[in-house]
Amino acid sequence: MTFPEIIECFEVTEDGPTFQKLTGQAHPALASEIQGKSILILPSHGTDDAFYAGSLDVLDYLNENQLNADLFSTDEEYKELSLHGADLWLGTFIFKSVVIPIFCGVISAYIYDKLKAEPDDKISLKFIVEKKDESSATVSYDGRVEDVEKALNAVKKFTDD
Amino acid sequence: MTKAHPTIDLYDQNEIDSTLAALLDAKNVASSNGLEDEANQLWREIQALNIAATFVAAIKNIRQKKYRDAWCELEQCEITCKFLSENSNEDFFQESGAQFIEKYVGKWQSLFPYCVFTSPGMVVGYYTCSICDHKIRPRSRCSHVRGRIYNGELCTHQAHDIEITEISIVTKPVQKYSVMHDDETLDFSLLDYLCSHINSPFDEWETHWTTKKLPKSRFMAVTEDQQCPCQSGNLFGQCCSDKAEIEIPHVNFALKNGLNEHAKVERFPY
Repeated sequence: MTFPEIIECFEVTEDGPTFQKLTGQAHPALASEIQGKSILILPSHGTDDAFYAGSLDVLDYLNENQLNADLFSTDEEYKELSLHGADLWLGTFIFKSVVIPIFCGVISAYIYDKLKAEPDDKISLKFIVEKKDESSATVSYDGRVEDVEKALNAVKKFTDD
Repeated sequence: MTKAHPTIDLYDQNEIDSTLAALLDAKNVASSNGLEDEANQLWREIQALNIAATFVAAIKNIRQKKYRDAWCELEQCEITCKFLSENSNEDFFQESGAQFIEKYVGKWQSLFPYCVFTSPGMVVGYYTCSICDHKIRPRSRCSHVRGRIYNGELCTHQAHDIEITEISIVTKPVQKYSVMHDDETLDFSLLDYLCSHINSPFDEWETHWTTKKLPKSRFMAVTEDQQCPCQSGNLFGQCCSDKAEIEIPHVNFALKNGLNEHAKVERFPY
């Protein structure tokens, strides 16, 4: 039996939410929690309230590596999406352009060292960069781990000069 | 088994059961007396024995053509090996035989023809820690790490308020037991072939996946409207039927202990 190859989907768009917009629409308790954070993990998979399984592990890993991260959810509302297959559903991240160099290094280490991803594994992620002028750009990648550098390189282009 | 609990007969279920019961009793005593190191070591001994016994049972089931049972047992070995590996040092992992089994589970799995699986998608309301029952939240964690052992018990996160949202068909499942195939329609001959050439589940062997060109005359029984022997997925008449030689998948087995006297060196068709 033969199967279709994994279809890669890689997209960079000049849009996306900002920290200010997210804080503005958050419950006051959550707005106060996420104040001053450099990275937020957002709900994924087209939902506005569910996070991929393993999001807490990513969150801990980011914080252990000196990135000031949080989840865009209150403790009470947090729930997880456990999805099909052994694919790596990393999630949606928004971060300020100032942390791009360290974020790219840490997330790459998470994929390869912590998740022990193989080149042929499928990964799904979305990175939203809030640029210096407070506009956002979104990098989406669904495809093989071996080509995830495309997404990281696209993000690095938004590094502050 | 390890030095502390030397050899037992892995084909004798009564002996396995009584040894496991004795280890479990000893672990419970150590645990209730607060002897965490001893309880943890006994947990390792129990897992190591479970892994070895399950692996032997899996190979026995392959010999008896109970392929699905064997597949599920190999998956159990894989999972238990992972937890044991994360909670023991390299010496224990090697001496207990788990290192060998971990390596060979993957090799045996690669010989199964299963390639389509079901996988559920679900929303989980919250998790609790199996050690302290703490409700895990983004800003509220307990001190226990998932996958580590505490006083002879493995820490897991238990899901609550589960809502199944979908069932997907996947080629790389989280749960390997969720095979979609009907075994009656599949070819398990690689497993049969290997089993007929090894003397023990602990024999060492290697596979080399390659191709081999054979003259078209070897495929006279294949009609033009059947699947091509080259396994391209196309019909024979639209693929290799005009070729003088047909290149088909081929597997070489290298057995460290050599072939037994009844071994058939080459098998065809594949």
